[in-house]
Amino acid sequence: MKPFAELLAGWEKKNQTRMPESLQALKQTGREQFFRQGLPTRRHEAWRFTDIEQISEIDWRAAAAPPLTGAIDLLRPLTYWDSDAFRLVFVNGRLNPEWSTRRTDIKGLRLTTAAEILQGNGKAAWQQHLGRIADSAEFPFTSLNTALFEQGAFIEVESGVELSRPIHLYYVSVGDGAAAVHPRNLFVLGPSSRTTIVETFIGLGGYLTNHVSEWLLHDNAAVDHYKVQREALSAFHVSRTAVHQQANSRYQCHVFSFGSRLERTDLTVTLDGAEVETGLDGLYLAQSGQWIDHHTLLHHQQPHGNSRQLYKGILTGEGGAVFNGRIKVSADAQKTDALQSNKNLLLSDGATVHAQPQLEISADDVRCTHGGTVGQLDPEALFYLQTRGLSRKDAVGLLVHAFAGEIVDRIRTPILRGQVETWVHEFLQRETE
Amino acid sequence: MLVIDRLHASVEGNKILKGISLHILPGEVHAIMGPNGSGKSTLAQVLTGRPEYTVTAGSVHFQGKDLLAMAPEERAREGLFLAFQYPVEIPGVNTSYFLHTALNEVRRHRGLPPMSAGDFIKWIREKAAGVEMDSSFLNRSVNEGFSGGEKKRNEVLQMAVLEPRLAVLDETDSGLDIDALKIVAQGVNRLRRRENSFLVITHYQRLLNYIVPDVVHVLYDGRIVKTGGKELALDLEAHGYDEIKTQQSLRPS
Repeated sequence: MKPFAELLAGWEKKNQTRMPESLQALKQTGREQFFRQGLPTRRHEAWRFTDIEQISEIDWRAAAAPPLTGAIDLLRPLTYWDSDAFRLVFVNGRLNPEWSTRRTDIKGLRLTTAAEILQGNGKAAWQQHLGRIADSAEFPFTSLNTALFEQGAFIEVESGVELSRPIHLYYVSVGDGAAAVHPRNLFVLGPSSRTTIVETFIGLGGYLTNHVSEWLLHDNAAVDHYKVQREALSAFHVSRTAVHQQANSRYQCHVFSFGSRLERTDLTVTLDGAEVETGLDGLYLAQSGQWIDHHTLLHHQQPHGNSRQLYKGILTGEGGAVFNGRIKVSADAQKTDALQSNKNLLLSDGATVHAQPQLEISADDVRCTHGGTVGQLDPEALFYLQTRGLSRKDAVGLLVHAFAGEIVDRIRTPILRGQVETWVHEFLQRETE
Repeated sequence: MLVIDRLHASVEGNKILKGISLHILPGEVHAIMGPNGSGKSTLAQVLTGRPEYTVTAGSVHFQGKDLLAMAPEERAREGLFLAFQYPVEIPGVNTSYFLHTALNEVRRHRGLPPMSAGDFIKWIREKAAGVEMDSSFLNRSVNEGFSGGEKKRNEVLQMAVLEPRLAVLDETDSGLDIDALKIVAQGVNRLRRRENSFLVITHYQRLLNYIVPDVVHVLYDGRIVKTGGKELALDLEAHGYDEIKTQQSLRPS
């Protein structure tokens, strides 16, 4: 059995009628490419440490509309509604109007959902960009997403617009073990615009999320991007974020991994303009039964680029993680200043981490540094805290929160910062019970 | 308050304490002096329960309870405090938050309600002023980037906040100039009460000019070889430890 073959065949029949031709062509390309590529195995260098055999063994179907009545109550603790935010909630791949903010006009923001485009109703300038930023040559799951996506948000922020309200995109999944969703987003951020965008993934049961988001930052655009993965512990989360930055733009990303049995995230940023600033913050937590794999690529293509990356991992039980951080500096990218750091905290003997920084530098006048640590809690600090009356459990908690704090404190949205702190706390509670 | 009876302890198989007996009454200040390597700091570490140290014989009772059976945090909650010789830097842990947590653990153990954040801030600011510590230190990570003197003052501040029954000061004077020494000594003297006791471990007599002890012990080669009043410290200052070393080496084994 070829994975996804049935799903792809069925999808083709269902959706041909009103889809614009250019989109049909794009999806056809995705489908063909995916059949050529197949799912990756551990023989592929980029998948050396992450085994997705479990994904290829399941006969995935499109996620059905879930019975929401009971699910809402179960999911409520996972939602952090920011009343200030412009919110879109997708439940099993369908826009849920009840949970979403009403589509009133926000000045300078153009929003189209992927479903509208599939129906031939989209107005956004998606044709120029969709599928062009996230190349799929090396990414079979991206090809699969292109072939199968039915839902997502295509968002354009106009030139010079500073959005005061953050945009929150929620992907809620309720799965029966074989439900797959393929959300697709496109963000086109106009020159000198300012935006905050939060993508959140939550769910119940067993399912696969195969997410792709494409980002184009025009000259001087600035965005704070948060990606929060708090999927169900029996779910798979495969994700691709591809970012294209033009001159003087600033992209600040904050990535959080809390849930899922297996996560693979590929984050690719192309610094295609002078004086570009890029910041990548990451925090991943893994307990027994969880495997979290972050692959990042920062490609400096133009001079005077500045990138800062700090990824931190906390692993307990038999939890495992992969950090693969590549920095490429092209010959033209003189005066690049790139700094990468990856720190891992192992709270048990059974936890595993594979940390691989990779620098490929073709310019001669650059400053690129990387560092990585894998360590345990400082026993001296633990003892010191205990001699002041803190239990060992509380002392461990304080030190782990301090470790995570470097990333958590940089969240600029208070409600999200509070939620992330809570999840770190819950993770520790589970661990010490 | 504290009764140590023929205590033997070793670290990594090396015998360090070779039968120490000591009796501290409520309200008393005892000083332990001795040359380097005599076991002074080991005694402090054993009392607080550092896991690397193994007690091989003897007993320690603190307010009538078996101290050695308690975890380090239980000892602290019972009212034992160690001012570290080398306070640990803990990046990312806010000093004020940490001390508030510690204080409320101790209060809970004593059957007191937790102190609110607002009350605590007021209270700790007063205590910080008492050791001439700028309150900006309270919002910094514990000891991170503190100078040697600041770290020692932070130890005395923690002691003032936790209000222990018995405080052990492990070479708190080392590395301090005379002004810092006076501030630290004032901090200690402010806590002296009829019901509180102190065990001051020091290499030099200097600190004992400011924290005047009731009893002075001389530790040598893991044993207390001499006990006397505060004049013993002055005597050691004048003659050094050589006399004691000589006497001990002549002692029949």
